[in-house]
Amino acid sequence: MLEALLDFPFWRPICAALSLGLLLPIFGRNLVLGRCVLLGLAAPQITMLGIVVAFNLAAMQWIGLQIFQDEGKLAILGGLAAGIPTLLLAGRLGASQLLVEPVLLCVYLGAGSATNLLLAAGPVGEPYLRDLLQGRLLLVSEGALLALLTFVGAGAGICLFFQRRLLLVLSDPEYAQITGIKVARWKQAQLLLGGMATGMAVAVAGPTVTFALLVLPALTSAMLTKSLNAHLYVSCLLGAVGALGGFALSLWRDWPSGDCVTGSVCVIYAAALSYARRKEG
Amino acid sequence: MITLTNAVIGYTSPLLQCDLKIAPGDFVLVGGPNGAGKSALLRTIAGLLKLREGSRVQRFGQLGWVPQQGILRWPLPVTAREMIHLGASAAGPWWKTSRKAEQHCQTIMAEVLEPGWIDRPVAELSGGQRQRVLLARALATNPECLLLDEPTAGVDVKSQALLAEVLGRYQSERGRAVVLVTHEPNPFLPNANRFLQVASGQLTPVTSNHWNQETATHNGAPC
Repeated sequence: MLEALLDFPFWRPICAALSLGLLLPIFGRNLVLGRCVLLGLAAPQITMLGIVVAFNLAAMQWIGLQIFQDEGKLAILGGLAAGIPTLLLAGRLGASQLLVEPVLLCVYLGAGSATNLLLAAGPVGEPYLRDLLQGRLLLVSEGALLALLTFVGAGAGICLFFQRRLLLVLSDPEYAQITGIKVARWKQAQLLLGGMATGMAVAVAGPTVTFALLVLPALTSAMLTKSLNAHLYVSCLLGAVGALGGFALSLWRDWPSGDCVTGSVCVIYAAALSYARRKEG
Repeated sequence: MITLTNAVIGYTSPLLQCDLKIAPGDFVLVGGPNGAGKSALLRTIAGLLKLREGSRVQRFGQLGWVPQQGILRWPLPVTAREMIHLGASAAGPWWKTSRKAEQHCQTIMAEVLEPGWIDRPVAELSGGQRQRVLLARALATNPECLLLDEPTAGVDVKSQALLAEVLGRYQSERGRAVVLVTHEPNPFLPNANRFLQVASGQLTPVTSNHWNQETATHNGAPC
């Protein structure tokens, strides 16, 4: 039975899509609750830049990076090295939305243009990186899938285990501080886990898929549900449906899988928005 | 007990200078015009705002915080019950809610909320109902001192009376301290045993009548 399953040619991309769809919304929920949706947009873009930089450094034969001949491992290294510090630094930007939002927008745009410029200047690993930009779910290796499940799964598990404290700290930091909770530490821990998940997800599935599955299911679910518990379950369900639906569409039409997943998550969001508007009257 | 000694408080000039001691059993009403520094004083007592000068000493265990109800604009759906349980979880260990804490939550919810809307999303509740949710959340941690910022703003008379009744019971039966900031005449006057006015950078103790008169004047009532 297991052998037959492993012989099935698409088990790896299906597992990758399903795990990303189920697990990323758990991190995205924290970003939405902490009013950091733009961070969910900027972080994958910077992570992608980190991956491109890692490829360039490896091509320059920098000490330490020569050992990463495998492009997949190099992408994971670059993704984690960029994703984790990005989220930790973003947490230090401060609580003022007026300051944070323009900074994150600039960072997002800057990282996107720097990625393209680096690729144009020295197209190191260009086919691999182009696949990544299109969401290379079909090309996921067994090692990458294992790393994805380990990092993102462990991070999501920790988030769920500590969810009551995280929800309190993110939703009402002043209340949490007055009751004696060390708010800054909890926020940093949440951002560290988010950075880890983002780094891994971008290295495996690319920045667009990561953004789409990180934030959109949580935003969609907020329009459809009435309680925190329901929000969590519906977010994960919508993420999984979007990821698997998009992947099925990419197989059927022979389109890039990442773009299909992103498109299907966007369609679900638009449908939920239309439903919520109609319900409001 | 919370003590502010030679404290200088505020964001901008004129800064508020004060010495203040809040002891168990105190029910303190703080009044004054808009922008006088009432909320800054409350945030300093809570430990949210750093003193510009002077010192703050807290000998109370748990503090309870009832912010202005604008804080309830959550980006995610949350029911009144979930919000109160989340608030109560702050007082205990992060991994579980003890049976005692759970029972306390139930008691507080029965006392402050109405069964019909405990499981409704907070976003769908009226201003008065939201204020009651915030009060229940603060009381669920069983605080030794409760700090409230404009709890009657946008709240109907019936809900104001209920808030006053619950706070009066909390203070008199359990001997806890209450500090309440408001800029409007309110139903907490019979409960209060200390009255403070913030004006011109000074915190002045006044009588109940004087406090009521000053507050009415700030709200445009004829003297």
